[in-house]
This record gives sequence, structure tokens and C-alpha cells, in this order.
Amino acid sequence: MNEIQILSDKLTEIVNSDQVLIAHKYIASSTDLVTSQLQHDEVGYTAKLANDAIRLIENHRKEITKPLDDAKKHIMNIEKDAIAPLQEYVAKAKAMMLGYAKEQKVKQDQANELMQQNAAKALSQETSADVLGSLIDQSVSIIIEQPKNIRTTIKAKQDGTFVDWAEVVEVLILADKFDPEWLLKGLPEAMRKVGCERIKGIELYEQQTQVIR
Amino acid sequence: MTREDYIYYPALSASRIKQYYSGDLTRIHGALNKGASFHQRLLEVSPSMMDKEAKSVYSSILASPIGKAIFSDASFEVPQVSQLSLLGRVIPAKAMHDIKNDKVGIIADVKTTSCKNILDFKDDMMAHYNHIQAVWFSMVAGISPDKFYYIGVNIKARNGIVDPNAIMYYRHTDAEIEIAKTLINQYISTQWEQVEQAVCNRFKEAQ
Repeated sequence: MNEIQILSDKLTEIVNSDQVLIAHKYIASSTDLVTSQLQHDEVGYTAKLANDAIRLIENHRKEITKPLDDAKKHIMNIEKDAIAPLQEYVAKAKAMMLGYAKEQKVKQDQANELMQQNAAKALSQETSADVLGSLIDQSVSIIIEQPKNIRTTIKAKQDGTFVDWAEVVEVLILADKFDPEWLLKGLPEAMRKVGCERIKGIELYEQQTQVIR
Repeated sequence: MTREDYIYYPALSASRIKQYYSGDLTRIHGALNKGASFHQRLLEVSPSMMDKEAKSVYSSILASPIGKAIFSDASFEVPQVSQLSLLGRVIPAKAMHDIKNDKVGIIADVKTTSCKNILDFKDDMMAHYNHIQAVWFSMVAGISPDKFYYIGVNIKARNGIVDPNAIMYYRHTDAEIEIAKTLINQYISTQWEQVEQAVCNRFKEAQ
């Protein structure tokens, strides 16, 4: 697949089709204020025409751009097939490098521990500048080169025990990192499920949306 | 001698020689101020009155046999003045030792650092001409430069967790000491004439 044909003129035809133009004509003569049942019905009908016109344009746009979407999908599949083994290797390499770094860290920790023990033993026998100097030199000689470029980020997860969520929320609030929307989104449904009628500071309210049929 | 007396005491300090080689230190003024503040909180405050950061470092130092030996029976923030004979000249010299342990016969200097291991720390000390300080302080104290130790304190050591391995100890090698001696001699032979008058005039005034 080397060339694709996009019939963009066809969309211009639809935009100027009778159905869309009629919708615009109705909108142009529509009222700005609903004060009677008749106006309510008229505005509802105009909104339906506008919705239908939107759907007509969208459907044709989708049909016209389908070759483009298919081509993009095809290209992305080629890209995906090419990238996958490379990504797989990068992930494997990172894991191997991290594994080596962890081993080096363990070796260094063991060497440090042994160093502390040796130092304690040596200094318990004699605390002199010569002994101290020698131990300091040893502490340099046991340094094992640690791999660089390891980014360490601290993350949080549940450890399986009881979580004090109130404290979690309090900490987030104190750090100004708390977004109330996280908790409010599913709250009305949750309150209904557990039979909770009221929570201090929370107001349940009705938000109405007009449906056009 | 109070800190103020020391600051205004007319004698040549290691920092003046270091500054000659390292140039303008304005760029690291913030780090130097933080370091000075940490020194004060670690060395001039009794352990029971230390803040969390200083207490953490203090405890980590004492948790290490080397650190414990350096700190035990030591004096802190000890000003010392001396007359040094260098290249046929008598130089009034001064040094403020962070830690002076006369019982063991060593002096030590606490350095806050961003280095994570001793090898990087060593390079950092050389890069900032601290080997000059090590040799100068040793000369003022009348001890061998290999009895001057650094206590390197990095971020890990200041995060509140007591860990003896988070503190780094280092002393300069013979080669590094020789480099420092050469730099000091070079400074004395090329710069002392210029600074002598200012320093000596203040010295005479003080006497």
C-alpha cells in the first residue's frame, strides 16, 4: 500500500447538504429563551436536527478518513513488529544491568560490614593515629565500583496490613497533593450502596442533563 | 581565642591559599553557607540539643568504630595559630580545626558533600584544593599531614537514618600531600610578598 485517496470534497458536499443546511436554518430562527411548551418542543426538535446533522457529518468523515486510518494502522503494525524485539532487548538489558548493580551493592555492603568489624577489633586493641590511618586507607581500598545512571524513585504500595487511609489523605492534603475529585466521583453511588445518607462536609446534589430524542 | 578573634587574627589561612588556586567562590557560596551552618549544628551543639539532621550524622559517626575513635575525647572547633618557617620565611599561620584529638594525635575536618562514595569524594577534595587545607592545618598543628582526616557527610547520612557506612573517611596519599606542599610553596614564593604586608601589619597591630 503506497498511495491512499482521501475524498475530502465529499465531506464538503455533506457539510452543504440539504439536511445540514436545514438544521442551520432552524437554528438561525430558533428562540433564545424557552418560556412555553411550544417553544420547548420547537427547541427540542431543532436540537434533534442539529444532532442528526452532526452524526451525518461525523459518519461521512469517518468513511472518508477510513483509508487514512487503515494506512496508519498498517504502518503502525510494521513499526510495532520492527520495534518489539528492540524493546524486548532494552528491557532485558536494563534488567541484567540492574541485577549486576544489586550484586555489586550486596558485595559492597558485605565489605563494609567486614570493614566495620575489623575496625572495631583493631581499635579495641590499639587506638592510635597509625591504626586509624591504616583503617581509613582500607576503607578506601574496599570500594567496589558501583554502576552509575541508576534512577531511584520512591513509590508507595499497600503492604497487606490495615491502611490508615485517613492519614494517607491527611498527608496528601498537607502536601497540597490531594485532588478531592478522586474521592467524590464514585461517592454518591458508594453512599447509596452502603446506605450512608450523609457525610460531614459533603453535599449530594442533582445535576440534570437534557436528553435529545 | 573566640571565633571572632580567630577570624580577625592576622595570619595566613588555608582558605586564602585555596582561593588563590580555586578562584572566585561566589558560585558555590550557597553550598559553603549550608556547610558552615551544618558544622555549627554538628560540632558546636551538645548531642541532646542537636536537630534531627545533625543528630543523625552524629549517631552515624559514633556507630562507626573509626568515627567513634576520632570523636572520643576530641575537642571541636579548635582555633590554632603558629609561626611556620617556609622557604626561608617566617609565616604567621592559623587554622580552625573542626576536630582535634590530642589523645590520638590527629585532626579531622567535616565536609558536607554530594559525593556518594569515597572515590568521588577524594576527587572532589582534590578538585576543591582541600589537600592544601589538609597540609596547612597539619603544619599549624605540628603533625604529619597523614594524620589529617576527612569525615565526608553526604545527603544519605543526613536523612535521619543512622548508618555508619553513610559516613566517609579519607586521608590524602603521599602523592597528594606532595602536590599540596608544592602548591603551598608556590603560593608562598609568588604571593607572600604581596600578602605579607597586609597580614604582618595586622599581626604587628595585634601584638
